[in-house]
Amino acid sequence: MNRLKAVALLILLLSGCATQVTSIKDGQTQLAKAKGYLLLSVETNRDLKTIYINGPQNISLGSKDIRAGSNYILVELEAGSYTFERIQLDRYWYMKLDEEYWQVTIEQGKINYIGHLELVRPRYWSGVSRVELVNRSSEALEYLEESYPVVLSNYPITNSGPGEDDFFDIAASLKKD
Amino acid sequence: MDIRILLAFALFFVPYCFAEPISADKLFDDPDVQQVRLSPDGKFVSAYVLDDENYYFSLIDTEKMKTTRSIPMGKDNRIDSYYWLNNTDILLNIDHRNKDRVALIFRLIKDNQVQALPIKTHGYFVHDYPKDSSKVLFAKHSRNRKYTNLFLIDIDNLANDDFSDALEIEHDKSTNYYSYDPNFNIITTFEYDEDDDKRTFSYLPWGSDEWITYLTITDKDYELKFSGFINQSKIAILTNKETDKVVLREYDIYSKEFSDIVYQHPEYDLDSAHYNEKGELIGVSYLKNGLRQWNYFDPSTKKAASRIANTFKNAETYFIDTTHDKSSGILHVNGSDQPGEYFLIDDKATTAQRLLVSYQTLDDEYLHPSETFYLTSKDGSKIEAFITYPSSDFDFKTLLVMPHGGPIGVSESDRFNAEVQYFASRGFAVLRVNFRGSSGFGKAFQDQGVGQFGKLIEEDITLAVNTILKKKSFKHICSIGASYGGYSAVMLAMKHPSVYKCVIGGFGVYDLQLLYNVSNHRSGGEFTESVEKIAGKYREELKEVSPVHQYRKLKAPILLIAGKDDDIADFEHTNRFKYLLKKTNHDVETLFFENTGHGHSSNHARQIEAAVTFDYLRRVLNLKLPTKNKLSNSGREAIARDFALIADRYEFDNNTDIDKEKAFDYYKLAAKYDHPRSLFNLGATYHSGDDVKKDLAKAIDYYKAAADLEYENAHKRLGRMYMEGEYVKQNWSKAKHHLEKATQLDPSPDNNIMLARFYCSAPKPHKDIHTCLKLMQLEQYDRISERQRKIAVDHIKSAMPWILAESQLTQSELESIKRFAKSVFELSDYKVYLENIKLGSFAFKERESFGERDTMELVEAGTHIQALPEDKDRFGVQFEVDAPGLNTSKDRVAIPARWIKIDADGQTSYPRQFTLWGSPDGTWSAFLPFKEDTTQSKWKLQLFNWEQQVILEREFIIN
Repeated sequence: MNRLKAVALLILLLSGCATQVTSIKDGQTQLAKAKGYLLLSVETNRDLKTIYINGPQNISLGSKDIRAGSNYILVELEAGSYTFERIQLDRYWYMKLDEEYWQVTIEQGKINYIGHLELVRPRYWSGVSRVELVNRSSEALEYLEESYPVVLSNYPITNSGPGEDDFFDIAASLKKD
Repeated sequence: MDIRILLAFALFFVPYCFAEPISADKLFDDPDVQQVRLSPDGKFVSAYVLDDENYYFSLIDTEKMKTTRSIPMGKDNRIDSYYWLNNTDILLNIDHRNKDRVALIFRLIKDNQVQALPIKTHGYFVHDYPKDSSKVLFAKHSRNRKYTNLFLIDIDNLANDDFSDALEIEHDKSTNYYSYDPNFNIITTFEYDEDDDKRTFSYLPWGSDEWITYLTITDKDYELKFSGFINQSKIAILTNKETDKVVLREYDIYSKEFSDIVYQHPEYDLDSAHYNEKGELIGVSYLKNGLRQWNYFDPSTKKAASRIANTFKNAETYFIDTTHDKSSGILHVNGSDQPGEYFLIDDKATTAQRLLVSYQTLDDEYLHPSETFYLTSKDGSKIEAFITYPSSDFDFKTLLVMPHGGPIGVSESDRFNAEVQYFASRGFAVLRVNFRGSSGFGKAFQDQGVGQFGKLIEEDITLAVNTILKKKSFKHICSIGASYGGYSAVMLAMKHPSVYKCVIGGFGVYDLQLLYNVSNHRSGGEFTESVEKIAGKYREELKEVSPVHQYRKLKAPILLIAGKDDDIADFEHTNRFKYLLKKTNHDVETLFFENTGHGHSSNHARQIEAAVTFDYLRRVLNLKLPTKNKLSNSGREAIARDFALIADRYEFDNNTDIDKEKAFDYYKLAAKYDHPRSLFNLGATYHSGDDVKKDLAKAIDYYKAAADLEYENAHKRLGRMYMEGEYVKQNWSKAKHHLEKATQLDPSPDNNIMLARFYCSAPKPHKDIHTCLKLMQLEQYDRISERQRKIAVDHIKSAMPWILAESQLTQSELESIKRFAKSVFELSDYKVYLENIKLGSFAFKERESFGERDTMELVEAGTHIQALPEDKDRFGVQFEVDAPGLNTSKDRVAIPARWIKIDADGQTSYPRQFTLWGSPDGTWSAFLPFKEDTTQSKWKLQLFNWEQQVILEREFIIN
């Protein structure tokens, strides 16, 4: 985490070319060809302003979707490799994320769970003490079962976050039994 | 010959008591007595004593064996450390809850009086100065605490923060750690390099200016522990660098080479080694039978040690302090059934005077001793294990197999263990095993456990279980553990489904492959290497020993316990295991704690976990608890408190899921065992009618039952009801009886200020304004803690509307109350006007964008309004304040207010009484939420000024 630094910068310097995305509604969309769903949860102890994610589509998550607490986000994206570029903490502070640790892949025709982004900022005026993309697959699956049963029944879910993990396969095997 | 024990403070050395459940709050608690020390001349024993009322610094006169001074320190203050600078001066470093750390010198003056001298200097006492008792070596922190400089300073100058004449010991070290070795007259220090994980130890001969590095530790693959100086070129080191066990070796500072082994134990790692002033080895220690054992070489010390060992059998003893001349010392004694005792003992160990106990509340409880036994595994390894049996008069004939965590480099001991005592006192036998991988038995033994998850480790445990089963039969066996112990508990039940009737897994790892890559930052590189040292290489076969992959093999019911912020055994392990078990309809219960990591940071949470576990065992094994008549008071209280803890968790614990129905059921169970607070809570539930059908007769019956058991809140509640005439006929005599009883039982700000209301508002002859104001004075609460003061202010805010509305005050009495309010609320003036008043229903509106505030927006104006649906919606009044001549953003305006509930039958009650307090800026409001019963009553809002006039009164009717 030491390699992550927060740097003060005027809001005017921020690039504005990313498209702000918000979660889809369950059962209202069909995945377009060459697209997949990105499933992410942002767990933060402070309101955040923007999260920028670049790839085949450059997107951003806006302040309404990344408030203090738990924020699940399910969005449709073009398949391909994406990188979390930076997190705008407030008007004045952002943190750049290390590319090595913040790359995920979106596979077409699937729900791609990329992890829970956990962020801890001890005080409003301080930097971030911890930011990590954590595998909490089972919680994500429980969330989809509760909030997106139609999407979940139409598309397979896969772990697209860090490391190897076959939990979704084990969970899927329950349905076959 | 054993030591003659002199009874000084305890009435009974061995308490006579029944073996009955011990209350969780007595077991899972910090010691009441801490930091016990001896003055250099031995005239005083000092201790930091914590009790419910206050925290004290206590001095015991060792000649009279009597506490001569007990100085209240206040609950906001914690003595972090203290030192006897000489025979009369004690330096204390004190942490304050909300303020900076402070230092004090307590100076003993005539007639046991103590003078407190606050000092500004921050630092710590290093050592006295043997050549001049008026001076000490003192390590002084720089203002930002980045540097620490060492001084030889006169104590009087230290007390005056005057370092002008102090001798500074020169150094070029960026260290905060100094010590002094009087045997060799050298100053020692060490530095830690975080980047290289390197520790460098240096010393400075007194009078020299050249620091000499004598040891550098970088290699983490073996133990290396500095043990003392032998002479100025040789040091003693405990290490297992080239040996299986940790042994004692000499190390040449200049050649940087180890000599031959000085001492080794054939079976155990050495724990410590001690040298005298001549550099001669006096003795060594190691852990055997789960307790530290001493092996002394000097004949006279050996004799004294033998007398101590013969006197305190099955216990661990060590000296925590001695007088300067070594003529006496304080011996601490601890063992499986002994949570800690302090004895004053002479140098030949002929007499020991019992001074203090660590846990006063456990002093009259029966604690269960454990037995150590040894096993030989198939491959010839010796395995140590501990069994603790319950007493025969309270025995559920149930064995709890309790594997320890780790599993590598951790071990069980035979020291006092709160969890073991909790279960043993509740009728369970507890088995613990130092399986392969445990520390203290050499490197080979420890390495044998690496990667043996679900294999050799569980074989060792099973060997111990089978050995016990040959000696004693049990009706039930369950496995229970935390961390690795949680995993092991599950694996034991999977491997031996016919043996284990239930499983309790806490903070466990259940998907071993997930250990290696749980997040983007916790995967690969050094992280993987650290996991491999415990679980071995990442491999496909891990699935065969992972409960998540093998979940179908679990046949026993299971309770899963976890912390949602655990980043060692991540919550995901437990949750995915739970997910699979629930999906396959396995009997699984959960206890998940919010804001909790790998284990608990609070004793209260440990108590809850123990109570829930006991309740789970009771239910799943269908164990029948003794009825209340078959238990002593303390046993009854222990059981009752367990149920009440569970009820509280369901009722209001922020860290777990709320379930009011279950809370009610568990309060009822606790009430069966005469738990006063639970009786009161049941009364409150019937009183409010929130979760059961409202029943005031039942409510009052429960309140009275709790009051009969001397529960102060029940007296306060009954007193308030008689004072306000709430569902009972107003009765000032009864009100006085109950409110006075409440303050007698607990003179808390809450109880005192309720009684104050009575004295201000009661008619003659009860009315007593002087006593009313005296009970509310903040100074008395200030003396205890800031928190007490804050609570008192909150209760004054709640008392003021009642006092202003209901009291028949003379002008002079009113002036007294106004003066009091002015001081509490820092009022600039009493005059206040309300402007831009909005009455009606208000909808909660969440902020639109980053940095804005949530607002309440008027939906329907008026006092006859429709209820709004959302939880955060409200009805009432919103207004602005005009305080003539006042222009400040500070809180200088206070408006007492109350809501009066008027039922259909005309019965009134006062559900909310409060004082709005703030700056004249911004918007003020007095709201109530819409609840299910809101439409069944009228709601009158009254706002007052300090002249006892109603400045706003409106009656709301909600449809």
